[in-house]
Amino acid sequence: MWRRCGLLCAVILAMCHGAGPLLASGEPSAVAEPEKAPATANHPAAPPQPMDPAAAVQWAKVREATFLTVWNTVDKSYFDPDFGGVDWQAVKVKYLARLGAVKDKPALRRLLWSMLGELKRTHFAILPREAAVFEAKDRGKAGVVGLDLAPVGGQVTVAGVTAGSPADKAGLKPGMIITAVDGHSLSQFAEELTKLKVPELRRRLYPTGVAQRRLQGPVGSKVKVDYDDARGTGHTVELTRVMFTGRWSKPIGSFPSEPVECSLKRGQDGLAVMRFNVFTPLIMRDLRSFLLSLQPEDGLVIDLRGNPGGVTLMASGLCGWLTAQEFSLGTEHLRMGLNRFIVYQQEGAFLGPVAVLIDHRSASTSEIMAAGLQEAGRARVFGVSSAGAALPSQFKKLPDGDILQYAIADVTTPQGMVLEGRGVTPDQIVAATRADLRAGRDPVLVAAKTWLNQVRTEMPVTQ
Amino acid sequence: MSQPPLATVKDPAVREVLAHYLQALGGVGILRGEHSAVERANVSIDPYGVEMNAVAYMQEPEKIRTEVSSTKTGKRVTVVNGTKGWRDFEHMGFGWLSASEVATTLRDQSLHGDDLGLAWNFPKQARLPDETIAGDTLQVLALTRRDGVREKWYFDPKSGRCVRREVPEAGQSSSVMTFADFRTVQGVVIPYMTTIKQQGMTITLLDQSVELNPKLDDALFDPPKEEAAHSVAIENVLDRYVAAWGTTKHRTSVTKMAVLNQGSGVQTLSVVYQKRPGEVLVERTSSGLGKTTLGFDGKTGWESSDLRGYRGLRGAELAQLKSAYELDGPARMQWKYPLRQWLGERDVDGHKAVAVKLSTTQAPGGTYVFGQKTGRLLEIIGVINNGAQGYLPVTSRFSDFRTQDGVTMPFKTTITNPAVQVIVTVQSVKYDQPLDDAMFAPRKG
Repeated sequence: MWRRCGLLCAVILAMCHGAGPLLASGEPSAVAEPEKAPATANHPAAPPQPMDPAAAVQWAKVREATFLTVWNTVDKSYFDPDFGGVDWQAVKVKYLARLGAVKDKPALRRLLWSMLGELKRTHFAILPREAAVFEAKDRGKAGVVGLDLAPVGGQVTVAGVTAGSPADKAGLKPGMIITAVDGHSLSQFAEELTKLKVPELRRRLYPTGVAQRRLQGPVGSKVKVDYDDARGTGHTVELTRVMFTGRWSKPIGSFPSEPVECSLKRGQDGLAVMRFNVFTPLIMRDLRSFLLSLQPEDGLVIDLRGNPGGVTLMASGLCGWLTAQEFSLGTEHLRMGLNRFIVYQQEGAFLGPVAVLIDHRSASTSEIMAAGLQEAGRARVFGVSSAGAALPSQFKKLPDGDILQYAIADVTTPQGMVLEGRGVTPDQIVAATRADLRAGRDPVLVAAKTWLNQVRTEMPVTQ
Repeated sequence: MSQPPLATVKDPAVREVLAHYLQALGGVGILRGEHSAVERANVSIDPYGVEMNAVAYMQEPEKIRTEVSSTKTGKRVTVVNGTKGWRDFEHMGFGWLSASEVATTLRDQSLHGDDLGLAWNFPKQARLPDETIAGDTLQVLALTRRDGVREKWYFDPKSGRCVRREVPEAGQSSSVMTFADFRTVQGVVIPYMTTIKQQGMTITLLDQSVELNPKLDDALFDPPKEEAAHSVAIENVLDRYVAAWGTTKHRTSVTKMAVLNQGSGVQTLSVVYQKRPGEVLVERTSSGLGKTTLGFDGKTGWESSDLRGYRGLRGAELAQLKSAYELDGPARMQWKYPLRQWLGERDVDGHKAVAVKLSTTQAPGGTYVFGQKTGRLLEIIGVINNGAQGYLPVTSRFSDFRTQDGVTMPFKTTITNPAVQVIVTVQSVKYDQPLDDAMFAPRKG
């Protein structure tokens, strides 16, 4: 299967560029390392050129406007008026003092990442405009290699390889451990996270997100991947990125377009599996039609593993075709006001048993939907705990062209549990091992199907 | 009312019950000696868990003051003084009662006026077969008011007391009042417990004390001076606003097209259709999010969207939709918001303005800011109430006023909440287009 940069991966983009800290860290500049072109005998590093005075003035204006837009936006919209105990005014003073030394966009991004990192929350990010896809002609920026990565046993592991992809042709297989991407060691990165006292929930996820993000790049460009095979032997391959040939979501305002994967299958045994990689309105009709096509005696698996979220309204919409009565998936709490994700029952809803699959990469809207269905007693959740990254957010274009993602609300489940920092705990914890991946086994899906079959045989026959 | 209360009651079977009833109250002589009263009670409303304290002051002939207080709502005072009346609700404002509200208050709350003037107040009476309720056999009378409303009164045959009244409510099931815990106060028999069941709720009044014929200060029934003075100024502001707006009185329909721009860059095209007497259709299309349609066909409110499917709109959400798209909205404002509070002058984008809080009798409303020079509505600070879905405090600022076909309206509205900003820009407005009623009907597809 093809992978692409999800929202959560974008959140930790800074580490890819040696920029600021992860958002959960408490030491803003501890791991900041400026990017430098390596000097070689044939290509000595050129000394930095002073900026043209007019350009320097223009840059100073753009830099300041961008900084103030970020700071002011958070100041006005952050859902907690106390900023979780962070003195946001003091943060402004601190980073404003450093602004003058910022000479270019990458440095500005690092500074802004560091500043946003003071909040220790997910869903705050600076997305480079040059990497964002808004139009079809931009899609070449987001070339892929056909690797789907997941954290397994504390290691960044190949969870899937798209048939015929560069990764497939290079011999990469599920179960292999990725140790470095383009020379950036993932174990070193993991150590940095530990030193920065990043919470465990984030530490197990961020290296995977970093690696996945680094695999993406302009079509035709190359990426070096270091990996350990099943015997633990290290290898290095160089992969050439290719165009993602599937569907792309439509951009929503300043939220870029995303590659979309959607698989809807109903077996002869009446077990249906619905899997999609992002909550995008593009696939809503397909999902709805699929749900309407199910038989009352069927069982349904909704596979949200690796789904980092998307349009939350879609979750309430989908659940409307899974219920005979109105219920809530949870509540988003803004600084002023609140909004409940109410599910309204729809005609022809599927009322058979539902299993939801999650893993450490399931985030945001995936978590809201899983938790809401779980607490309503409408679904049984299988897998491992989710990311604990569920803050509704918005996107805004910045004066320098980049995109600011900022959280505007916190989320509680119907029973009042905060999802951010905690995640959803499955009803049945099932963790796939690397051996499972190598053997092509999916114990999480097997557990879900076993349960569905058990429930189906216990169900009274209805007309 | 000098003639005997039952002088015109012809039916002896009715007369027998009513005579016993008046005797049970203490007798006509005692009742006629009542000129004032103060009643203090605890009030609870279930299933809402509301607890309140209430005090009623009554002074013959036509002065009534009730004060109801709770920690949730604050203090709410309603007064009738002869032919005038007023309300002053804490956090909501002051307002004059309409003539019909005054009449209803006098009718429903009097010192045994209903009883002493039974024959006059209920010119049509009939004895109905006895009924057994909760094991007790009760005598039943049908008493029809002068406005034609037929009540049923139930009497305990032993004591003569009225223990139950059923009062029909327009468009709803009847209210049922029951009376218990009778005590004698200065010769008058008063139920210290009254329970009223209506519209799925139960209101229980438990008297704490009743005092008859105390001396009451006339000032109790006078309106607060400052609020009364401000009410005139507010009325003037609202009159100027309606004049500045123009009128859609003769319009049969309005079609508006607008673009909504959200701060996150999402752009939505919205087309609003409004048709008399109150049909509404709003069609919104957002790039990347699909289409959402809301409507009200005169009977049913509904929403249909690509993402959430179909649902009915009711309660606060439906009220919000209807209120937001009333054809004659500005003209109805004075009727819709009987409670007002003067908030003083302020500046809006360099324009001198006055701010007024406008509320219904049910809930606090918003702050409305009107331009002093133009009379136009410049800003509303209020709450979008989405019912069970939640609420969003917003400030809506109006600008780019244009006059078209005699109506002046803002072509730009900026709606702000700390988390969200939406700018609505009107593209076009068309009046009196033929709109088929079928377009407002629920769309479940």
